[in-house]
Amino acid sequence: MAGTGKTHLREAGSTLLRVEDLQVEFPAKGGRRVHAVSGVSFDVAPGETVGFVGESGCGKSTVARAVMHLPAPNSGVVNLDDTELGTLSAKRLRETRVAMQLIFQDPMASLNPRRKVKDLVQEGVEIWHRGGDRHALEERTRELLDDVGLDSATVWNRYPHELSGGQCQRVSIARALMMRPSLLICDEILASLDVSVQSQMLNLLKRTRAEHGLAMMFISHDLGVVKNISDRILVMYLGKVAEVLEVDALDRETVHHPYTQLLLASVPRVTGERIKPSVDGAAQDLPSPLNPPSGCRFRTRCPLATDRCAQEEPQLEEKRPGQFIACHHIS
Amino acid sequence: MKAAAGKVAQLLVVMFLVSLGTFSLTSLMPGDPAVAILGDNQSPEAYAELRDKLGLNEPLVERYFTWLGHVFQGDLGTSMVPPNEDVTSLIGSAFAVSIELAVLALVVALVVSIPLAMISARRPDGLLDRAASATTFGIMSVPSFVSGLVLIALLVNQLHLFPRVGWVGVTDGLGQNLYHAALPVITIALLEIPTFTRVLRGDLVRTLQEDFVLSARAKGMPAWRIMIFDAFRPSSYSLITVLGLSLAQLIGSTVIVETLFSLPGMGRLVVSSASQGNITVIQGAVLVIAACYVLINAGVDLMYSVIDPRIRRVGA
Amino acid sequence: MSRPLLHVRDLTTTFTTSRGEVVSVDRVSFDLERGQTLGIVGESGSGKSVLGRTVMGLTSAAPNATVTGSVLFDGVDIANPDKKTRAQYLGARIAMIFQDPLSSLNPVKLIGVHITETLRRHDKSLSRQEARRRAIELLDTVRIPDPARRFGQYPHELSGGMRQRVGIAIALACRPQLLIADEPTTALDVTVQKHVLDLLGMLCEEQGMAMLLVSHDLGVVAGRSDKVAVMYAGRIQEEAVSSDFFRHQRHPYSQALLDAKPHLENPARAELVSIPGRPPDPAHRFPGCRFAPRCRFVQGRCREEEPSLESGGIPSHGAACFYPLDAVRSTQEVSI
Ligand SMILES: Nc1ncnc2c1ncn2[C@@H]1O[C@H](COP(=O)(O)OP(=O)(O)OP(=O)(O)O)[C@@H](O)[C@H]1O
Ligand SMILES: Nc1ncnc2c1ncn2[C@@H]1O[C@H](COP(=O)(O)OP(=O)(O)O)[C@@H](O)[C@H]1O
Ligand code: SF4
Ligand code: SF4
Ligand SMILES: [Mg+2]
Ligand SMILES: [Mg+2]
Repeated sequence: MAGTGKTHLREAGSTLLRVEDLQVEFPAKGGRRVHAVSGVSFDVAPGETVGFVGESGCGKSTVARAVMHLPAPNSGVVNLDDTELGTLSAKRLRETRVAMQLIFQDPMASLNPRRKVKDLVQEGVEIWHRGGDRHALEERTRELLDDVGLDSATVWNRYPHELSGGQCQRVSIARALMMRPSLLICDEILASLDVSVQSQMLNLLKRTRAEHGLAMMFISHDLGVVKNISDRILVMYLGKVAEVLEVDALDRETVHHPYTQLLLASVPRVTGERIKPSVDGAAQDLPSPLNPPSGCRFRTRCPLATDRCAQEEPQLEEKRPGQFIACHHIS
Repeated sequence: MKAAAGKVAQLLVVMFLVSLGTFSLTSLMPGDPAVAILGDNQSPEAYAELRDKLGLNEPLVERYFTWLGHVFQGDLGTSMVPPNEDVTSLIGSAFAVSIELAVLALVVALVVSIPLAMISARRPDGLLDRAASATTFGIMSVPSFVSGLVLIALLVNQLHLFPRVGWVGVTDGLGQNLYHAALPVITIALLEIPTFTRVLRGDLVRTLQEDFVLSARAKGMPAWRIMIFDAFRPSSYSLITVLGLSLAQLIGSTVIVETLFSLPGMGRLVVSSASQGNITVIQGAVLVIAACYVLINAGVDLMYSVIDPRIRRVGA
Repeated sequence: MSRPLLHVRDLTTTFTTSRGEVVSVDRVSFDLERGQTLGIVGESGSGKSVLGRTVMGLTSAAPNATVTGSVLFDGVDIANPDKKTRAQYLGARIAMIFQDPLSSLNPVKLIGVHITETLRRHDKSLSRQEARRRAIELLDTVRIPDPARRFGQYPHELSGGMRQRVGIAIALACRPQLLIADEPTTALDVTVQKHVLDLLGMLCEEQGMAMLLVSHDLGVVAGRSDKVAVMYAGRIQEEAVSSDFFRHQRHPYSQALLDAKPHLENPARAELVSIPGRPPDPAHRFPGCRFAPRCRFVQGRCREEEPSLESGGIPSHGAACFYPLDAVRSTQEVSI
């Protein structure tokens, strides 16, 4: 059994996106393979936001790209609106993919530096609906730019380098909305922004999502941010799902998967009292995805690990209503 | 180790293709070699006899392998033009001249341009930088025959520092050899200095903005030390690329300088053979020059991995 | 009272650029005692890095920079150091750690060489063998497993957290009295961030080292500093002992900064009070309070006169604001 279970999946009819047993590997030197994503399952209901957290290298971006089939996963099923992407022809796949829009972390780099804002926002639509009504298109572009908090008249003829990081991200969002997606995939889109801009963007995303009826996959390493915007949260570790939970349960008091626990304990507390620094032993790095640990992948860093954890892979089980944990020793 | 073997195999394949290309190129050249050799007022029988002697009546593929077999034994045939010398030794002596000129010129160019680039990069757009930039730009815009003539006028005719023309091989004394090589070497080096300086300066300026340079300064390292021990190596990739290209190019095509100083190098050999339709010599020369290109490229790749540990670990 | 280790007065760093004079650090003053940590917090472009580099005496070398004011390190002015002072202090008595642990290490140099060259630069009598032994010891001090093997590796062969630990080891090489840590954890995962902050805290404690801990995140500084200074547009806007500061922010900007961040302790889906607008363009300074265009409490006086840290009226809790927030607000669940 490669994955960590599917008990957390909801009824097939009620979800917009349903991903089962997603598996992505990359060839590495010497005929070895990078096990980037090893059996991840999740679903996203219409209008729902699912947050993805986990340390860098745990496979969050790879999941996002595999969902888009950019490129297709090595195995696994991706169902968007009851269409299985893996069965589509290349042409149909391209058409279907438009319903999912991906926004990246680096706001400057993801926009073509030689195109003006208006062209950047319109270009996706132009590819799909050639020769549409120019006037209506412009109208909608202006509307969307205003929607994402930009002054359309001011930015209309600007180039990306003339905008700040936050403004670039707003253009990226307007550009994605232009395609009328049902699912927005945001990969660390706030990571390079300042706190004040971050909060503006979070509020904007929440408003846009309500206005456009969007579902979102929201990838971030910042637990506070994820807690603020998500309905459900998926905690990933080394290509697997460690825990799935309703957002309200994400706090320091609830009992979590030992890895979630570690993440939560690492988030600094906003306090004036000096924290006693504790440096017990050498810090543990994420093990290599070339050669992941047997059994539970977290066992090399887990304070609760036993022999059983090395032999048997834990499956996601509903430990409390709405909280699924893949661990042998958490009840 | 496996990667190194792969690299060598790749080199061999390229060399094979080069030899094939060289051979067919010259074999498909218009004109009849027999006519080129005997002149155009001989009897048809004489032409036919010569063609037969040269093996031109055999099928192309057969001729290629015969030729390749000889090449492997170091035999490039005999010149088609009297006094019908041995092509290998003909090219050998010309090649020695060219490679010496090229290597010496590049060394001189590097010795001048590395410090120049470092001085320029120290304060970008500062006085020294702008002065160096103006000078190199000036030199760059002067064709080599003009700078060569100016050097001759100045250093030979006025100051009598160097001989006007001619070549003395290393075998006849290193001192005399260098004495005769000096002027052409300077002429070629002048051609290369601007490019080297600019390429290296650009990379140095970029590297000097890197955090690790700042962190070296934060350790209390002096500026010259940072320039030489921190910034230079990571800034030398483009320089090495340009260096490789220059070396390869110089070996076969310093015709102007060779002519100007009457030097028996590869450039002049190729040009004179071409005008005489001396196919065996051209074939040999092209093969040697192409082989140099391939080897130099491999050398450049090797240099990259010596400089950059990131490439080293991926490649090896 | 003995003199502070670091005594900064009216430090100003100006860059001459094509867009005019940019005052990146503007009349900054603070004291730092031996063994204490001062947290400097502010958004990007507020001048934190320039401040750190100026205190180190690194900006004055830039051709387009002018530094005025004074930085007295143990009584010696190092704001505009000559070559000799620089060589004596930098890397030996004052050291620095950088934000991006990969780019601050030379990609073509061995990990070990980064450390030994610092050691040998400041102690010319040190033999190669001895330097190597000390370097391995330092790698061990910063909790790098298998230090002897790491000594012979290149920066790209280490993970981000390891690299930052190497950065710390380099900084610690000569047992400095002052460590300037410029966003030492920004590029790291939270788990690694905690380790690095713990490590820094412990080393400060053990070696009696003072630290300037620079971050854009108040959370990083919280619990890790004795004093906090909040920077905005090149100026310190609020400065206080940490326990005071986190209990109660007096400057509207400091408070807005805390409110804008979605904290883990906040309820899920909470609406965030964001700060409207953007920081001012440093090339276009205007009269009055720099935060005025974005401040919720702005009044007429704010646009005419520039407040100083004394304007707040409480010397021990400076706030560059004419109308500091002194009534403790009920929305402050976050601070403990
Ligand atoms: N060498 C320089 N020349 C001109 N202006 C500079 C230079 N270095 C910094 N600045 C300017 O000084 C101001 C402060 O820069 P600084 O790098 O200190 O900000 P910061 O708070 O560290 O931001 P970040 O979090 O993005 O690093 C900015 O407006 C910046 O553009
Ligand atoms: N193109 C690729 N080739 C090889 N390995 C890759 C590639 N893309 C990602 N990986 C590996 O897959 C794992 C997950 O990567 P990624 O999804 O980018 O992580 P995250 O987004 O969580 O930072 C990492 O170990 C990464 O090194
Ligand atoms: S299964 Fe074992 S190793 Fe894995 S998280 Fe649970 S206790 Fe730890
Ligand atoms: S001085 Fe005025 S504008 Fe400035 S922070 Fe205080 S209240 Fe706001
Ligand atoms: Mg990623
Ligand atoms: Mg900075």
